[in-house]
Amino acid sequence: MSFECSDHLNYKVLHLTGEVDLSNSSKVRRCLLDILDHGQSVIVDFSELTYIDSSGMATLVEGLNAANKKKLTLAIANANGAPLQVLELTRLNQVFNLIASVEDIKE
Amino acid sequence: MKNDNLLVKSWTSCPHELADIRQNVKAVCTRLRFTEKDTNEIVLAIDEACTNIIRYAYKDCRDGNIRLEIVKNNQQVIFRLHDHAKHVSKDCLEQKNNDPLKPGGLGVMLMQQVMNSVKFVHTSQCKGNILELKKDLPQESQGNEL
Repeated sequence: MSFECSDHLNYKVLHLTGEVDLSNSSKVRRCLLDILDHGQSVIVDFSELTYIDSSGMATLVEGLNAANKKKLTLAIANANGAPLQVLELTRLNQVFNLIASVEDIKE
Repeated sequence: MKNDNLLVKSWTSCPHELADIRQNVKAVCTRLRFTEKDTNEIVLAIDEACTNIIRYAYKDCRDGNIRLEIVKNNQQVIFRLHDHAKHVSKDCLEQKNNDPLKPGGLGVMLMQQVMNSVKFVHTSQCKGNILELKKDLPQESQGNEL
């Protein structure tokens, strides 16, 4: 798994690549919480993400709760395949703001 | 009922082993002609079970052992995960949290949702725990020899 950040409008975009599981979800957590601690809203880009488990989902939920407390936004873009299935199985697809692409975010 | 052995393999309880466990489970599911969607779900369920063994049975100790045995009978594929940790309570398979926004319990929820049955098989001779997860085979694989 690897990740990198870019900017889109006033959002930080966190691009996740590969597989997120127990071995690396803490790295994603640190990065996500760091962005939110700096007062920036975030879009997590799933386009290159091939797998995510419950530890990854718990990380995103923690990020969402932190974002809500700070009145920031956390959205997920390009969810498809296995990661989308996990969102649906956990019913978190009803909780997160899912957008078709990073460009679809509204300011 | 005749059981066919499909896989017996061991890994350490290091989280970095999870990717290889998933690869092995995926290969067996593909061989059994599960759809891509079902394969993804089964891989997820077994990964969650292994994650729980690492976190709660071995308490993040990395030199434990996880043995995965996969067998099939005429109707089902059976995944048995053996560990050598202290016996864990059967209660840990109960879904205590139905709110996905509250921490904890997501892994158990996913296992229960995806598989047809999830239970511990404790025997007096058995050291550690055996978690057994069963999934109905796709119609075209039922009764067939591989």
